[in-house]
Amino acid sequence: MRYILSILLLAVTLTACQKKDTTTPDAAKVTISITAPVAAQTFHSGDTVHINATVSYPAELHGYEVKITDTLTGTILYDDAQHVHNDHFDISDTWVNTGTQATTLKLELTTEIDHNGTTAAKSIYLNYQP
Amino acid sequence: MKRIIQMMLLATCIYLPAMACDVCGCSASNQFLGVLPGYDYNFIGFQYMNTDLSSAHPSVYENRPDEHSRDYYNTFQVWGRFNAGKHYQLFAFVPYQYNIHRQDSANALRSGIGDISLLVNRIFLNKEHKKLQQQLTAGAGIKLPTGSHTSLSIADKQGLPNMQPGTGATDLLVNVNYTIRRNNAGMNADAAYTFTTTSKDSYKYGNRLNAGAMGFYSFAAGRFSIMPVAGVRYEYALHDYDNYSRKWLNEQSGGYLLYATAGVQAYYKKIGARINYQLPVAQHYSSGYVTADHKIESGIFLLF
Repeated sequence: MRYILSILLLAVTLTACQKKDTTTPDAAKVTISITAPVAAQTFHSGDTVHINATVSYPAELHGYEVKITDTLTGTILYDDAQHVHNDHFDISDTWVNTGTQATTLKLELTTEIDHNGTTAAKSIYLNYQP
Repeated sequence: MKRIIQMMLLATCIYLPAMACDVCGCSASNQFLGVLPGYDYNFIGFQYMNTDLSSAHPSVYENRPDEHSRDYYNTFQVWGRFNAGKHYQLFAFVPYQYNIHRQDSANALRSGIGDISLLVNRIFLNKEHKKLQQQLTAGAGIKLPTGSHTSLSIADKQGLPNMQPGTGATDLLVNVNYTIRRNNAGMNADAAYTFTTTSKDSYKYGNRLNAGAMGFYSFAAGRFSIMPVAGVRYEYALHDYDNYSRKWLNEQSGGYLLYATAGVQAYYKKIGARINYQLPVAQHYSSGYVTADHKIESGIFLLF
């Protein structure tokens, strides 16, 4: 019995040590590619904006957020935040604008590198003509 | 022996959880034996276990408030024990999970057959001396990935690993159970430890300890034999890995829970029933983002 407990103690002790990825968070190592829409593309009322993007990083990412803001008013028109864990994201969203005022839209893709607020982001600007 | 057990507990306790992250729910399967019915009998039983948790989900993005949810874990389980000769006991557990995640008045339900566990315990001690009865068993087993489990790296399935009926992994279970009894009163101490492995998507739940100490006293009430029990239970879980091969440690998972527990077992001939209520007296789970409210366990069993 003592022998069994000794083995158990050793096993528990060994498995209680948890290794972790010690990669230093570095926003410069994040690659964000927004393939659609393209910068300065013009949309009209009722058009469907197809948002396609990829994010990759050598270590774990903790989520992403796709946000479209009306730069004229500061209103957030579209916001999709996903708390997912991976070293790459393939993002495919759609949004339909029905605004009545011509404006410039800011499409921003942000990804979380850690839970301490380290992020990487990429933005493009779009034209909206109702 | 005493020293070994003390060292074992110390070794599992000294690894305190650090800062943490991904929250949602509590432990996956956490099987333990505790005070068992009719030591010399085989039995088959049906159990219902309920755990209620409150969770705060910290946003990973600035200027967003925490989201709050309640998680209800319900396990309906058929289980049994079969004495194989004088020295071995076989246990089997077949759970059905019915888990509800409630957030913003919306319910997410995950249900289905859970992970089946099998245990083999050896009886190391079973003796009576001057009205003092002692039993000591210890053994090992396996938890099979029979419950449904889907990948956790997909959007919209985020944060819900514990809600799934299965863990998607085969785990090794070890346990030790000691009972001492004099006349109608006694004590039981047990500890169960789960060595987890990775699922096919490389997610790994943290290893888990479940230990308890219970006092009991039995008396006759008419044709019934009644046995109130009371004690404490301690649950400890290491951090999960979002991806074990990449060593992506989820430091917002794992933690400890200390429960005060009270219950009663009742027997009529070879039919028994029991109910236990567990109230947390100390806890720090998922960096404090998850709060356990209570646990209820009830069941009936048939001795044969």
